[in-house]
Amino acid sequence: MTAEELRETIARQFGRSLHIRTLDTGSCAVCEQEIRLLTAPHYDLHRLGFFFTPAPRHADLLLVTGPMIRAFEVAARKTYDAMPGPKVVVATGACALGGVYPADPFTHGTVDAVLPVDVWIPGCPPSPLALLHGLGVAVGRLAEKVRDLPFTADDHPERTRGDS
Amino acid sequence: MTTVEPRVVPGAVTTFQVASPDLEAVVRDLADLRLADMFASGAEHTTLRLVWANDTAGQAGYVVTETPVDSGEYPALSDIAPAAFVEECEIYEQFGTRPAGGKPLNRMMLPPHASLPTLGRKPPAEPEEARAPHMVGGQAFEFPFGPVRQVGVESLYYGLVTSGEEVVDLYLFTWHKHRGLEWRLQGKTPEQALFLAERTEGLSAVAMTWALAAAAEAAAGVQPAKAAQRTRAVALELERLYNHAAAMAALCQSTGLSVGQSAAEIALERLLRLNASAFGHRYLFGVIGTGGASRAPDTDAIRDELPGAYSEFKRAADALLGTNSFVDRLEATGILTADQARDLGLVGPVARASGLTADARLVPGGPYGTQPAVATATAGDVLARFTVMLAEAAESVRLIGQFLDAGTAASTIELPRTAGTGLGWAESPRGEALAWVALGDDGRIARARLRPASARNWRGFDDACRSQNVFTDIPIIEASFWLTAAGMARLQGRRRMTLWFIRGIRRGVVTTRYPARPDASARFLPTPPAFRPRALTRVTADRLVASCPSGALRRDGGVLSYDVGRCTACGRCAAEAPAAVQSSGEFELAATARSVLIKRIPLREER
Amino acid sequence: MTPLDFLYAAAAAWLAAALAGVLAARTAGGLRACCAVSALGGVAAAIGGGWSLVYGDTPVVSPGGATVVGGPLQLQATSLAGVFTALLGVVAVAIAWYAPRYHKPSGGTALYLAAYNVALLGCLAVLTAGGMVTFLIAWETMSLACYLLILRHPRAAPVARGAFWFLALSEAGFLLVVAAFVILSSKTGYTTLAGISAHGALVPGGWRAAAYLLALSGFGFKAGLVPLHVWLPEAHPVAPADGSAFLSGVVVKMGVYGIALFAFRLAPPAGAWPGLITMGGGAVTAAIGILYAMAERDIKKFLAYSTIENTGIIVTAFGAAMIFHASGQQALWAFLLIAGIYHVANHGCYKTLLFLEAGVTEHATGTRDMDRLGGLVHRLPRSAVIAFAGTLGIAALPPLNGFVSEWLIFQGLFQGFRTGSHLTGILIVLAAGTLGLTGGLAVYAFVRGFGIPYLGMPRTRQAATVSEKGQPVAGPALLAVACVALAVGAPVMLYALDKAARTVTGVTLGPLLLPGNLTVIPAHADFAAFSPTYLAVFLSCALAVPLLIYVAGRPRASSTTVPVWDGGIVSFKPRMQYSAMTFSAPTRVTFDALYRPSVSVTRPSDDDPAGRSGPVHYEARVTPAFQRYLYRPFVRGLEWLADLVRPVQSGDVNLYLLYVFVVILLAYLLGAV
Repeated sequence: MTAEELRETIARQFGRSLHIRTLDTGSCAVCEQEIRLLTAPHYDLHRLGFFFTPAPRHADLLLVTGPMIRAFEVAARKTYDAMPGPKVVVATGACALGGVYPADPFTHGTVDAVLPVDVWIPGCPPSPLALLHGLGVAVGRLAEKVRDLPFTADDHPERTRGDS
Repeated sequence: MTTVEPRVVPGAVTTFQVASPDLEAVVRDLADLRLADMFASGAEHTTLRLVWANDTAGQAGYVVTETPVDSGEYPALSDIAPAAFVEECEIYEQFGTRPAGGKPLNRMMLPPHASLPTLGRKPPAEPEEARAPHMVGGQAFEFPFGPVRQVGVESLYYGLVTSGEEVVDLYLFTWHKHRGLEWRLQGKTPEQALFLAERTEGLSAVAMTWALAAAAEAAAGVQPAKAAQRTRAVALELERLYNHAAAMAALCQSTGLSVGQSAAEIALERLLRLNASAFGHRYLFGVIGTGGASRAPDTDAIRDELPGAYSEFKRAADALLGTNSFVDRLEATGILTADQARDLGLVGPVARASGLTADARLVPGGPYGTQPAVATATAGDVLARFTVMLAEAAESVRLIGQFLDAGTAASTIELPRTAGTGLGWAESPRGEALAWVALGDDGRIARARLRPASARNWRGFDDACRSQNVFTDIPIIEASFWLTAAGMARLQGRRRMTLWFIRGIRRGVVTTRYPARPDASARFLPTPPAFRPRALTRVTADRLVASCPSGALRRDGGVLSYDVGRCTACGRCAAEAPAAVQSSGEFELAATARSVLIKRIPLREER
Repeated sequence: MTPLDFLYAAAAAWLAAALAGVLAARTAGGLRACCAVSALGGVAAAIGGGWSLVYGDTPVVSPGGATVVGGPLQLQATSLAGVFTALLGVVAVAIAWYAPRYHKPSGGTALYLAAYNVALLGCLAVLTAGGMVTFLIAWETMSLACYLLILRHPRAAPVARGAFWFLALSEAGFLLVVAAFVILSSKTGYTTLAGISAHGALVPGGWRAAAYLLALSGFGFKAGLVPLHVWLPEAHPVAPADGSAFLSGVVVKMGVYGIALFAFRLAPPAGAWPGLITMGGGAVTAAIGILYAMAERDIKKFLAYSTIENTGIIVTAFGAAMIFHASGQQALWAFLLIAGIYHVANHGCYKTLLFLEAGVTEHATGTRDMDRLGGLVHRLPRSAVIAFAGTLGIAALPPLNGFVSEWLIFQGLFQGFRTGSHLTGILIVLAAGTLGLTGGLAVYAFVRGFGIPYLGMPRTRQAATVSEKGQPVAGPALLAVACVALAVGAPVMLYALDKAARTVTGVTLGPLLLPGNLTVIPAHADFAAFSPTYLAVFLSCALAVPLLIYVAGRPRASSTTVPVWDGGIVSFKPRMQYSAMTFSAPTRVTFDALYRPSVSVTRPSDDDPAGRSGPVHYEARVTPAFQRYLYRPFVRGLEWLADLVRPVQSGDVNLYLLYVFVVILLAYLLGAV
């Protein structure tokens, strides 16, 4: 299946209801706390048709945090293999994207050294709003913004704390 | 070598040299003190250090004993001080030094199927009897739980030995999250080390960085300014507040009380937003600096929002304490007696709920001048831990007001590049967090010891769980301990029953469109930087690259390669070159291709 | 030509098989020959029994004027005994097919097979006994032959103990049965069973009640009613598998037959209270039987307790029938008799099957302990399927036969309100509730009984390396087919049972039981109805739907096979599975007043607060309440009495001469008076 077909399948099959399994490959626990807040009243994941499930067999999306510690690799692969296709892998947080921990004997440093990642969500930790946006991008309901952002100051007006 | 008996000096850390043969006698003499930590350092010449704490109010302080153990063995201390057992196992794994007597040790940090670097030398061939066996016989079986557990909790493996209903025994494997932090810290400057220390146990970021910074300051002989110390204390109390709210939410989730969980989560979210508006990060990363604090709180924001957030918290807590079905689940569950807590050297609300008075804020000399009221209880069950947390939350609000009145400021001191050793501590929401550093002549860390409270308290978990019902009580006990697996496995590396509504498989269950309008709280979130190409010279770019602790910046010739994915929005690059860097204000950064996150920013052409 | 002729043929075949066994079974060929002859006898018995259901009672005959121990040998093939005889025949055929692959030819086997065939003969004689003396002689023959059966390996201590318990309690029961028969025959003046039943009115009410209670206790020893059951879990597990199957499947039913005789045919007692006692005893037996079954790890002991449970169910049905008779509800009287006997047939089939499969498992793996097995469905696939059929039956799950007979019994009990008396109505409902509890626990118990040995992963190397080569399959398979036939062919079976019940009750249910269209109703048209045949068809079709979806859908989607989700651990060990005792732990917690478990735990943290890991050992033992609180005091009392009397047997010749003198003197004096 090409990337385009995969995206269409995902949008069609998951766009309205998605089951998410989280996977902690060695995070500092703060990303997990933000993920737990997704079902809190302020963010309420369920109104968007997304649900958490503890069983990988029932999951469509794997939300991975942490720098993929080598000692955890077997468990990570087992979780990924236990999910039936089509499935989406979302790497969340700076650790999972290669920051904080470089590749060394303890960690791979980045999740895509072991699992095929489809969506990356930066942040340390990514706030629940960033996570919701990322999940929306993963199922094709929201548009990806970062592609067009150059991160140069001429395009981003100076922002001080407290500005609306 | 001194033959003077070690004594605690209130508010200070006194260090004594003890010879290996005398060690056992010293440990017996100090039995009325709490053994707070034990660790080794030095690959070639190993020194064993024990840290003792006196918890009596008004006389709190620390004693450190140092013992060279070059022979590869030292007296078995866990026979007389059970609180030392976990550390004996860690020392064996990292340094190859075994306690005398040959009793088997548990596996702590090193996974069985991988070979990882250690802080010292490993034993050449691990002897058969070094490892304690896990064997289950008779009419019980081992129920394997984890490491991939419920949604949204950390990876942790419990082996529950059960007879089918009750917990006969429980053992934990925590090596799944072993990131080798102490190994990584070697060779870093204390400023660089704070970045990693924050991420040891992110939910205690302030406490852990405060402890490490205080240890480095003690080693370098530097004292932070009073106002900066008060800033630190405000951040620590805010951390305590949100952690207790999160623990309350977890308790409600473990008992299946969704209404309570939602109420607690509302309070938690408000507290996290308060953190973001006060200090610029929801989890208070980046507040502590060496010699003080890097950021000052927005006192107006705190004064405006804290009463509201705390009243949400109190409302949820009062409603829960008035709900008999909830309180019944908590009462007499997960009991830890005072003797068990004392023997294992537990700290934090877990210890205080069993009647001990350990609290690192009681040590004189810190910003907590007038001693904070320490809440204790005697029942030692989940309800006692919960009420202790509620009392602490009330006290935290009072303390924050007190510190803001006395004045807070941000100031840091660059540490002199000198050799030295130092011990630092802070009372994290889970208990006393300790750090010890040995700095080399260049001021870089030769050995750092990080001991978050979780590393001490997990050993009490199986005692609390025994003889309780398997499935329903363990999540409750786990929530009442409110520990992290990350805090346990930092060395060298419920039951949520989500309701799935399978209706409208084709049509789905969307009830609202997202997003309706931008969320007001988003303006306080930390965001990755944007760069001004006109201010980016090669020299500046190189300074920025060196300042990034996460490896997000790289200079390729005339282009600054900026990986948004690796950026943690810590702000160090902005502090390094404010003219070249500003906050981008973007936090919806999800990408479907990794290359999209790597931005190439042209540097200013230099003539 | 009467059914009795077939039964003569069966008896002759079994006699011949016994002789063949003794003479020839030391060789493989002789063993097979003996079993073949036994099978022929079984076929004859099955035909004879089945035919006698619809034929009715044959007259009492004394073939060839033979006499036995002071009286003529009187035989009669009755309809009431028809099901029992047919069951005997079917079980004999199944075991005959099983035995050659199970036993090794040897001297011990020869004696064993001889004893077995004599036991078959004894059972047949009990069922066809037309007179009291014949009955009693046949009963004792059967008991002694069964005792020899159990003693196949006499040197093992549990075997000796089990056989001893069997014999001791069997004799105790026999005494009571003799007393009951003596009362009835002396009051009516007849010794033939037909005569006693015809003149039952001559027996005064009090004597009738006494005779019934003696018979209930006496036959209750053999049937396994609580508290007379303690020999059953000792004796049944230690016999060879086909012996256990025979004992549980048939011999226990002889006790049930005896109770049915006295409750329905020979001078049934008046009033509701005998029925209440019977029903109450049956209900308690059922509940206690299954509760103790839950605490057993030994497969055969577990099945033995389950036999006790099913005896309880049957006796409950009989008791309720007696109550309905006492309150004038004749249709329900006949209905519950039919239901009880149907359950006899069903239980005989599936219990025998399960014991034979337990034997296969023991043979293949060398152990009877469920906690040392696991995953046998992969290694012994055919046995697993057959055992599954038996499990479905005994757990009373639709559409198999256990469900049909339990449905009938429940529907009869639910109509307790028709008795007119509030008290009996409530008591019948309580009995129904107890049977409901039993049924639920039985499902739980048999999920455990099938799941732990057959499903999951092998817990020991023995279980991992078994093979099905050379294991008997045909015999148990026959019984599995019988189970299905008894379920799907329920209307036919009920028609035959209806005719059989008429000979005893005089009531024909006809359309009140089988209104047509393969439907069954419980003696009243306005209460309930179901069709076992249609249910079986429907469930088979329902199962076909997912199969069709799979077959149709498979080519279109690719599939991969991955291991079972285990939480991501590195290696899943067999010890990480539920075991038999941990699976049943919740019942031990709920019913701890009955079990009074004693727990012993050793774990490293007991001595070492530091948290060093080490071996953990957990044992929970269930207190055997009846042995400890009932039998042991009784036996001690007997021993005390015996101690008192011992001085009489001093060994002193002079004292004995004195005894002789005293007795002669007494005789003179009495004669003079």
